[in-house]
Amino acid sequence: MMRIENISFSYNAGPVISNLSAEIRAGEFVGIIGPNGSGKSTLLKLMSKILSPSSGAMSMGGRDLKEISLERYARQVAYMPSDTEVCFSFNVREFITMGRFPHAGRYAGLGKKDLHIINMAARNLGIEHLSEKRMEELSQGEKQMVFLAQAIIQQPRLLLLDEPTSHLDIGHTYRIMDSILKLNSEDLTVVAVLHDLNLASEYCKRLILLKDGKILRHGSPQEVITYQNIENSYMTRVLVYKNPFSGKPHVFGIPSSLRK
Amino acid sequence: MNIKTRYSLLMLLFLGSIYLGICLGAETFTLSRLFSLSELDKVILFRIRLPRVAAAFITGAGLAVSGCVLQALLRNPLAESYTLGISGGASLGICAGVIMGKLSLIPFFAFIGAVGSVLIIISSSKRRFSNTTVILLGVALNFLFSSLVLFILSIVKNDRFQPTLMWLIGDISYFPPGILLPAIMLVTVISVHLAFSGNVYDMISMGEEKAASMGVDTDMEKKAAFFLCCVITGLCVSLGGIIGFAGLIVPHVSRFIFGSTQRRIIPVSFISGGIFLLLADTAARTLIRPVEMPVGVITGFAGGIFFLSILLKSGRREF
Repeated sequence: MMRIENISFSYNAGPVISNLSAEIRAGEFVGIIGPNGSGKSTLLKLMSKILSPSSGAMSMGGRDLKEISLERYARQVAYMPSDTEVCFSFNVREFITMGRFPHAGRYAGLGKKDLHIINMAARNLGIEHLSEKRMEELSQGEKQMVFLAQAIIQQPRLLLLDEPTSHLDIGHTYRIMDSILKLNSEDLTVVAVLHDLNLASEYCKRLILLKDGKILRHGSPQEVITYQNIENSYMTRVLVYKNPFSGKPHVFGIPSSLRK
Repeated sequence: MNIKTRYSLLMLLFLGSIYLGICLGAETFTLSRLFSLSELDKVILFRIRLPRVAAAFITGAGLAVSGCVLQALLRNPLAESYTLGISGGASLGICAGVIMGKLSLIPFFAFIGAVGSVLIIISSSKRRFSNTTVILLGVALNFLFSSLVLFILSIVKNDRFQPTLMWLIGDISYFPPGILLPAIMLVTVISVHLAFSGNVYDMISMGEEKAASMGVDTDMEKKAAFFLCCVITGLCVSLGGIIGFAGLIVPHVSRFIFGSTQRRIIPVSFISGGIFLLLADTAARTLIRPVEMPVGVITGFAGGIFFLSILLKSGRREF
């Protein structure tokens, strides 16, 4: 679905992504992991066409990204930032409806089909009862669900998520990841930046481990989440065991006072 | 109360405020007098009263619409032409125009002044100032511009001094009559355009990156919208001088009653901003009759109280 060939990107401070290549196949659930400052969010922004690479090529469905207009791209790819600050008191219904923008266009209103899509997404994510509530009245968990709904209403083929579970408790974290997994099983390709290695291990079919803007390892959770890889990239000591229930690798940190 | 009732009430208020604006003033026109106008009455009504009603309405409408859009562009609920210092820039432009004696080009001079302020604000927004800091910058700009205006007017010292000063502190009776009709048309057309583009400003209000991911060319859209806001502000300040808070209060009250999407709130603000300033101007003409106050006195008073009540009510919460 998406090919990334040898791309580099730098802010003023220096290179963030250097000579990185990767491929995202249709229907995948890919997790991007790596230490702070390794370029995870930047890679996601490059994939969402918010930023453009300074060198290298990216293509989507065989077409060069540079040739696809921002507007057309938005009909295929949705991006959910790690924190959206809502500065007016929209109610939930108004807010998720904004996800139709790339399809409805600048001047057009909403048709029956649009309303149907909005209603379905609200029902599937279980936020129908929040419709009339104002955004600032929502809890963090509810808010994150609403942001996800807005992205789904955009009807993308590829969904890019930047830390969809930041600031959430374990209950809300798993609820939102379950919703994302369900969408993935319905043929939506998902790429998510995740801080929580265990969450990435449980949900993603493939992981990309970044360090200093380069791919250190990529492959299945079993291949990527090993104590060597994690210790090398995060500069700490860890143990990796299997989750007895799912068989996926889990990472345990070790306080320095217990290290020998 | 459903949304249709709210719209109906707004329309009722619109008609009522126009009726009051026409009837009340130094001369009171009762309904029966309106139907049997003497020659003198006709002059008062068509030469003085109606232009003033129209100017007050369009000034309020324009300020409210530009307030709506500026708040979304800068993602700052405190933004408007006045608090950002755009009106101040426009008034300096007008002052320059008056000195040069080019009265018919006044709106153009005002526009240039407004653009000057906007350029300063945009360059500051690249530094990621907080909302409050941007407003403090606007306050600083206002002080700077009003000092310059006073400086210029006090060294020039001719008979144009007093009227220009009155005009600039917010009085809708000093504008050159030729600019009224073009101003009405331009402000209306631009407002309609901004209202139809409302969806775009909703996207931008979610942040530039999110907007870009939604397919919006944020750079171009923002530049175009700032430009149009400068045109509106230039025209409004040319008509009524610096009128504070109309662009701030009206969008907020409108959002509270009608919801927050720009597509809905820009037309509503156009109407309710017009109503607000028309009623304020009518009050300014009639409260201490036959003496007339500048309308800026009324809006400043109302705005100050509104501001205080919000600040005191919201306590420590960042507005």
